[in-house]
Amino acid sequence: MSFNNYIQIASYWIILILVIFLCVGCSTQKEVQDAKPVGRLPVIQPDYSGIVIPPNIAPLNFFIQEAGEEYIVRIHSKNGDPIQIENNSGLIQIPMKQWKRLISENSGEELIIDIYLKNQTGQWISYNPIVNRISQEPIDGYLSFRRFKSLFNLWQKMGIYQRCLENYDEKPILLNRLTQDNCMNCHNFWQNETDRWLLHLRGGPGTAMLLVTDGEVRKINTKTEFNGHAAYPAWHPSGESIAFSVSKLLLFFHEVGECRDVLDRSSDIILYSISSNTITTTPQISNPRRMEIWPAWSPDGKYLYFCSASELEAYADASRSGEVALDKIKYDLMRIAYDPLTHIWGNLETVISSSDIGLSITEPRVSPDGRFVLFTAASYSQFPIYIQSADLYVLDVRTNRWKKLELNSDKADSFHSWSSNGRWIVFSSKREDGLFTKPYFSRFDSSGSTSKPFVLPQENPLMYEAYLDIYNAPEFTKEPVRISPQDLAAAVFSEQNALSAKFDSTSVSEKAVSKTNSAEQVRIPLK
Amino acid sequence: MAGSNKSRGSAKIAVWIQEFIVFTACFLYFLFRVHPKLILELQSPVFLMDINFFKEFIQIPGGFIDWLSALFMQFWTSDFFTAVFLTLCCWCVAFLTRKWLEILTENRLLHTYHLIPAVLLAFLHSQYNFNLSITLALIINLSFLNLIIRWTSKQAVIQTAVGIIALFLLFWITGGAFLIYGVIFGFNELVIKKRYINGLFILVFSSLLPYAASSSAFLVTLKHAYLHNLISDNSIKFWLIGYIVPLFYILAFIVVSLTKISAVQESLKKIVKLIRLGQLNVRWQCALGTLLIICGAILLAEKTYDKNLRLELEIDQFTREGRWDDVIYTARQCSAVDPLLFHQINLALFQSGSFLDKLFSFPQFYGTSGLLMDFNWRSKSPVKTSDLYWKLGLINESLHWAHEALELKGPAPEILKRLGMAYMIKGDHTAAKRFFLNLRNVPFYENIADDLIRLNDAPSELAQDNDVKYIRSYMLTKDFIHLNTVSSDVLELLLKRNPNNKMAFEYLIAYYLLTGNLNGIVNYFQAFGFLKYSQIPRYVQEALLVIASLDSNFDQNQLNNLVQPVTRQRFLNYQQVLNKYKGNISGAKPELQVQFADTYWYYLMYMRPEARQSEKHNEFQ
Repeated sequence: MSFNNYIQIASYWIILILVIFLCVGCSTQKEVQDAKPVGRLPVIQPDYSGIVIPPNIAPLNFFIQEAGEEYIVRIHSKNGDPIQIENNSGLIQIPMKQWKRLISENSGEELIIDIYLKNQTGQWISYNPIVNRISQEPIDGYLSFRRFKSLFNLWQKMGIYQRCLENYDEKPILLNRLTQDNCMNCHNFWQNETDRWLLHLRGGPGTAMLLVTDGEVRKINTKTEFNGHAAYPAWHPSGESIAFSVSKLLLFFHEVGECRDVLDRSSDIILYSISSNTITTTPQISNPRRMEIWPAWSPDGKYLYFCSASELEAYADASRSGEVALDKIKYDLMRIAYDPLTHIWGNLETVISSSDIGLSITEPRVSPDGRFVLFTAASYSQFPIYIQSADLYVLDVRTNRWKKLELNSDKADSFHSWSSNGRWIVFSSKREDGLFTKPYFSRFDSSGSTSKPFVLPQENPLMYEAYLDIYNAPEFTKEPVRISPQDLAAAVFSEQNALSAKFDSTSVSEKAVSKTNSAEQVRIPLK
Repeated sequence: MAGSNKSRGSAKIAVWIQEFIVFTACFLYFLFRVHPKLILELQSPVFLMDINFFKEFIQIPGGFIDWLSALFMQFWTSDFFTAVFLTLCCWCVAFLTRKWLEILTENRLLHTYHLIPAVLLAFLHSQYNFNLSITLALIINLSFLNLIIRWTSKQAVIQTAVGIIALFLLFWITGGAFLIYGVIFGFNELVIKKRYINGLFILVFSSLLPYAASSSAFLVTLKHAYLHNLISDNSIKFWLIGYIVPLFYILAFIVVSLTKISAVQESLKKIVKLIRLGQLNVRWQCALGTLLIICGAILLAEKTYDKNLRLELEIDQFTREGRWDDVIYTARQCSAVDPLLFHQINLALFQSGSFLDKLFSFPQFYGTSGLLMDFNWRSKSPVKTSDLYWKLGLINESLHWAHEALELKGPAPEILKRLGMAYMIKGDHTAAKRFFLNLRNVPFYENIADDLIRLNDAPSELAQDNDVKYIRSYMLTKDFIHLNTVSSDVLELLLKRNPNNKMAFEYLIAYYLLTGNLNGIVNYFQAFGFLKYSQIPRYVQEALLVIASLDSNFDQNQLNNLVQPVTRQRFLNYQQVLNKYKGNISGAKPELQVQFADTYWYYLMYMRPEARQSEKHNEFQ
């Protein structure tokens, strides 16, 4: 046989194989067209149905939780080629390029997902199409969060991570295995930028704030003769100062229901000036008779929002000596005027009284346009993550009306952050199992309404099913943190850029000492 | 020539016999003295058949070997298999060392020397806290070393290039242990092959690689980059031995290199002649070497072996397996004292039904800390803490400590099972499933996990499950708040919830006995009848005698009915000894200790003040 004969025979085989494939393909196509409708939406995990998505989000991979032998998924919109995925596992991993093209070409349009499956009898069935909407407003490109296991008293592995929301890249900002396994928290960014940001370190090589400004890292001990170590930061819009809470928090345990709980024994708010490395305050936000916590600036820098409750002694339970009535501890939403030019504090106002709302208000965050204040409200306490009744609420500053958001679940929904354009929010939710917090995104429209939230997409959509880490304190950033974990860790151990903040005693009356730094041990008001 | 081959063959057999004797001794030492399965009590290598679990390991240098060690340790199901495995590892080290030394000495037949690192490793493993990953990393590095220096490429550059690639690879998979390969390969190039530039380059490169890697590609500390899997991270007795193993290879290289210098060779010949070693044939040399190494090993074994540690680990194992009589028997042989040990003894006494009759037969140095442990000890043994609370019916506290265990020890099967069970019993089925799904990925636990998942998915079946019904009947239904301290308050609440909770009852009485709260005992006296005790337990009888001696109004008839004559007589004897010393308590102590150290009266008089100090000192603030 000549070489040409071999070529000829090979060509016949190739044509035959192609014909078989075409026939199979056509028959599947035909069978799908004739698929029997079941008249309901398919169950997919995560639930990506009826949501609004940003035009720059990573592919929303999912798993079809319907028993079938074969699956066909068609994702399409008004413009561009549809994406078709066929497999027999039900695990739908959408090709990145096709997804990017489809959603970027169709911003403002509907994104439709058709799902077909062949059941055990060989019959193709179709579900009602999943209809999502692609928003015109993009989401900030990155999300930073703390990741660790569900924490009680002890910890070992912990890290602050950043995740690109346009794909699945996740990188550590800092890991505690580089810093003697210490605790790290309170990562916070000035106006969602990464050239001014901070995080806190507890224990290990020293409790301090790591402050990053234009690539320079400083390690600042915020403890002064007035106050204890700072937490819960809020950057002033000028980027020149940061408000903090200084609190004495106490972890305690319940024997029924949710195990953990946190008691605020005393709190104040302080203001740290970066340029002068000084801490100031005013009696109105460090009132000895009240506990002030969770500061948040208005975008014009003229108001500081915060939460405030009466001092702990006010909640003493008359029926049980030495104990406090936990369920009575409720925080009001307050604000105080501030002049950024003269640094003079103005009048104090109660924005929402806890008695009006019947709940304890925490974690206020003002929208970038200043119109809305998003906050968490729970039945009691200043630490809503352990309170399953915690929900997100919004206050319209213009009308002074507040409402509970539509996106809440029956489990704890809390700790939220605004995207820089004010059209997206991210929050921590325990909605799936009441234990593991995960970041959920929702579109926030100009009227203060939110869309159905969706969980942070993952390359493997089943990742969350057995995942034992929690995502804590999600914060949007427009770009990645560029300083390396090694450089941050080096700064932790370096004495070169280590500073101790000074307290400006002229900001308060003479001999004043914050409740959080009193030499006298606060009596633990629990058994 | 044939004669030479024959004599080499017989010498080889002598070396094999030597290895056989040494490693048989090693195996027997592991099996009968060390009980190597106990290593798992101190190191709990968690392992999941999960890609994300694997990914976490390969992100750090040496992580792959850690992962591999964890995998191998899953198969340590008996002392026999573990002893075989460890002996094989030690033999691999000896074999690879011999092969390397043979190349180094230009194919001289070696005996004894190559056994030194293997024997040292055997003793390190006998300390229970020594990581298997160090031995595996050494085996892999020695394997690569043998391959690369045996390979004779025509082009030196290619050999060096392959050697450097191997250097990267070994650093990534074995961590700091790659230095053994890197340093010896470098010296080999420098001294043996006379490729000075290559050798220097490899040495410099090896010494800088961990620094460069920890500053760029890998998020690990400098210490981790250089030392992980080279020496033990865990504290071990005679830690210097850990350094001797890697140093042995460098020293051996230096010594062998020196012997190649003619002046040194001449001196050595003179020494050999002087001590007439050359007159001995290889067989006798092997015999002498074997004798020396076994004598050295016995000496080392005597120095390094910690009997108390072994007994403590055995107690841990028996507690985990519910072998309560073995716990008590072993505890009587153990002279170590710590709250964890006493917690386990007390638990075993309760489980074997003799708690309040034998409580003070063990000196309760730690008071209530030995009963319920203080925060520091709970933190050191969170799994046992979770077990204790589970048995008592404190499900939230059990859950709390299982979470602490998950954080400190990782997803070990018993922790995943406990967390899943606790959430399932509380009705948090989605959270429970997450832990059961992880349990499914643990080797040998798939069927258990599947059963639990099935139960979790069927709430009606779950409600009928006997174990679940039992635990739910003990669980607190009224909230109680505390700061990490479980005391008599919680035990009282558990009894209020379910008066049939015998464990809570006996622990409460023991708590009162240990704290000297005699009124507390009186308050719960009726419960002995309710819980159908055939007679009042011995130490309660002894406490009653104390109460009666302090309270002149105490009903003597009742006392006579409750306290057995033998106990009453012992109390009289105790008082007589005290009277003999005219109330001088410290003077009477030696005599009382001989006769009455196991009585409640002795505890109350001499040990309770110390125990109280210990409680105070240890309690979490």
